[in-house]
Amino acid sequence: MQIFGNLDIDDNIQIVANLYSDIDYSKIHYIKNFLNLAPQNPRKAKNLSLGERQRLAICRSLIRPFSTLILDEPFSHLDKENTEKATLLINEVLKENNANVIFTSHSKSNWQILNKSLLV
Amino acid sequence: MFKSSKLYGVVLSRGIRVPIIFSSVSLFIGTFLSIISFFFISFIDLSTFFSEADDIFYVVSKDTKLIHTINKEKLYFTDEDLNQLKNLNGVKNVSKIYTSKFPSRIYISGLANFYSEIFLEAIDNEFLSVDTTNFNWNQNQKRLPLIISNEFLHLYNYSFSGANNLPVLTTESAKFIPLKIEIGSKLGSLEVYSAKVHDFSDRYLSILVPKNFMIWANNIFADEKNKNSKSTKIIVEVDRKEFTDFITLIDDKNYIVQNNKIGISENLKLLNYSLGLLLLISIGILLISFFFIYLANMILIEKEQKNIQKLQLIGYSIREIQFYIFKQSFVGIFIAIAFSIIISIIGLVQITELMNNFIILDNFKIRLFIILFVILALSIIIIYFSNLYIIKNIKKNHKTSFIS
Repeated sequence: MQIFGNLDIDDNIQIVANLYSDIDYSKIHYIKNFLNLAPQNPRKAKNLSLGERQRLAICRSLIRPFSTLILDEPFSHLDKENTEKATLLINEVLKENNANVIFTSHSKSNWQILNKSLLV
Repeated sequence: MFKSSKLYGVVLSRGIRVPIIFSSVSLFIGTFLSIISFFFISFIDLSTFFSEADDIFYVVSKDTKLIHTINKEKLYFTDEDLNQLKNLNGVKNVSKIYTSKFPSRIYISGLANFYSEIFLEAIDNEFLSVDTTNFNWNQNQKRLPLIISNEFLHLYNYSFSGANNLPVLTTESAKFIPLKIEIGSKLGSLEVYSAKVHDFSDRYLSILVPKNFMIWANNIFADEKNKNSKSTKIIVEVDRKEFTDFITLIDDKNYIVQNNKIGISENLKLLNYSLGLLLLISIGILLISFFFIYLANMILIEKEQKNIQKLQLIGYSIREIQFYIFKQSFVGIFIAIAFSIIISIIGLVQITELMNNFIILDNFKIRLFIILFVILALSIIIIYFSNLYIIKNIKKNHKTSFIS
């Protein structure tokens, strides 16, 4: 997770958004809210829980345009509820971008949640 | 949300401000001193550092007393006087200075109404400080070569030209001006000669013509009673290391030394060494300040190794990261250089105004422009190599972190 500890959630997202001139900020807000990453008191990333950091990393990977998404154990620190939410969101963004995903996971259940999976 | 540059500031912010401020301050001092010392050194003939000439040339005359205003004979140097000087320990050569004994005036060819009364002088060619290869004359020659004191050129450039709306002249451009010298006798005969500046000299404050012309012209144009080769002034070449006997005789005979070159030359040498030392110190300060810049960049790249790597992994190019580090390092430095240039120019203008009565500063604007151009060129070279250096180090650290 290439999270910057001395930046808060918004700035960690912004530092990725700055790379693209035509970024859709309404999409960023939607993803943030969907992953429950809009806290009342903004904290620096180094003070976030592992689960929050994981959701932040997923959020950052989804806000940019892509044709193939590579995820290395994306749900490792997430509880069941957040895993389901994240999976729904990933599926939605993949469909929107007409993109593929390659991901690794130790849990069989995670493989089945995504719409089309190739088990290796 | 932050703008990109501010985010960089938060991400890559550790501990380079102190060395950057320190290097900016030392860069300011170094640049300021360099400009000042380099500027003044550019006016000084560096050959004085390496000159092995031990001789000094003195122009000597007899003291003018009230009695001499009636009887001028006492002002002339006799052969006995000359021999006495020649025989002194340390005196290498003595020559009469031949002065014109006829009225003469000079003007630019075609501008006869715009003339100046002058007097001409001549000395043996061996006493001249310039190349004398073509400084000669024969009786069929209507063109006179002139050696003019640099002081006259300065006087023209800084006083006369301004008052009469005339262009300023350099030593080279003055050599191309066609001049006319009109020589007249009290009997009414008038002779006009073309004249050309052969060279400018610092050794002798006068307008010099070839010696054989002066002797010939005095014979032709001077009054009968003045047709002699007596001189009221002589030039003496003295060994710098052995001039005690000469000084003693000057005091004993109450002679007047018109150009005390020894004092000027010693003071000039001391000034040269002081300015040279100042330039060396300022270059030293500049080098230290650039070392601090190097150190600051090293600290930044080393301390922020992980964050730089993260930035690269999320998609930032090396050039973008390098530009931020470069900007962080060089904003202070640019301000320091710009500030020191402004202060230096103001200082130089003030100093030159104060010193205008003591030294003549040729081509002030051109020299200042050259110095600023050199500093700008050096800054660009340093910036270019710093950029390359930052990129190289980021790449090196990137590879190292992946290996480890």
